[in-house]
Amino acid sequence: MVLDPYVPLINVLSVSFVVAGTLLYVLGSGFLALQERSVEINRQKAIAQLTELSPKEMKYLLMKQRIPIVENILKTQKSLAPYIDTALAIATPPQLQSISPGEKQQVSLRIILPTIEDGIPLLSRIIDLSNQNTIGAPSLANVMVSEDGVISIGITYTVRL
Amino acid sequence: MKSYKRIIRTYKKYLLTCAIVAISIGGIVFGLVPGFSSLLDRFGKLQTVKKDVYQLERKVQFLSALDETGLDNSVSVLTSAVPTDSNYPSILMLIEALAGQQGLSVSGFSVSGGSLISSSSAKMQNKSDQKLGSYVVPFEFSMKGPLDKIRSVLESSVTVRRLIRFDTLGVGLGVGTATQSGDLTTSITGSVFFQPLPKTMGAAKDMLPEVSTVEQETLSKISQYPDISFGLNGQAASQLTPFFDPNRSDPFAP
Repeated sequence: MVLDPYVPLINVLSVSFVVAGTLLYVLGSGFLALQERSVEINRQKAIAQLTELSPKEMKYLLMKQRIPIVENILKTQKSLAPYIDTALAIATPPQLQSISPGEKQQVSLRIILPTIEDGIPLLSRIIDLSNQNTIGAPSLANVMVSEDGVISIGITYTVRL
Repeated sequence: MKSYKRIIRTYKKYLLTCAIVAISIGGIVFGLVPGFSSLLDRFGKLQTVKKDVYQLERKVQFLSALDETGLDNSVSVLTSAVPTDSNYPSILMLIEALAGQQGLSVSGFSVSGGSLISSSSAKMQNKSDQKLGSYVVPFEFSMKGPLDKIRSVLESSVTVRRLIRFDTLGVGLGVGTATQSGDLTTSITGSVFFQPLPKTMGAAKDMLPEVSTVEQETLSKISQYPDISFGLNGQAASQLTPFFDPNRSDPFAP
């Protein structure tokens, strides 16, 4: 038959393939086992070192956690001193009765004037500050005259910080 | 039966080969293929573990290289800027200290419960507060003194630890509130902040993010702020003593 000359070769190849495969498997398995053991030893060593370093890690994480919070707080902090500065530049006590900073750098002042003429230099100062770009959007919010003739005016503006 | 025997006789020399091939194929299909498949799995897992070990070793190197004294100092600076709990007494001490530096006195101090921005109780906080990610403790107090000194208190409030923020300012300058000496009564609302310690440290293999230049600058900036936070290390009483007037018989008198 045609196959006859190839029969021994087929036998040898079949056996060789299986034997070689088995050998390769045993060698590979052994090599992997050694590698796994070595890696596991390194892993255990690293974990032990990390456990020792965990207080340091905790401190580092604490630091990392807090810095963004501090950054955010610093961004929202503002000194209210410029509000007082601009208020005092407009009027001084006892005419200046109250300063109320609001949101978006807006300030409301309540000023008492003995006579309406006293309001003229005050308005002039507001115009000057506005021209100097120290304050913005000044407006006369209200004017009230009490029974005893005291004039109270409300002024709002925004402070340029 | 005869034909069966004939077939066997004809192909007798191939039977052994067939058996060998069949056993080989069986060995390959049922032995080598699953065996190599499991080897591949083990190899894949080994690569993952190797990667993890590499990350662990890098983390160990990173942590070992950190200067512990510097780290302690940074943590101390940061926890004095944003403490780990509300520490209500320290809020009053902080405000007393700020006012006391200018020789002013504080009255009418009140503080609200600290609320986390993400909680429903914090919904009334303004939009900028919602981004902070820390607990906010609002407070209110009155301060009496000359306007220039009040101004100094407001100015110094943004450069101290614990971090404090003055939100609104009402200055009563009218006839009824201003004294002859020019002292004024100021009503201030503000907030202080706190953040509890982290409860989890993350997975061991997770790499630690490095501190950026901007973060280092922030740290350096706040470390230069004077620490008048008190309450964290028990130094409050001794450091606060100079701010109280020892001749005043009633310390709670306005």
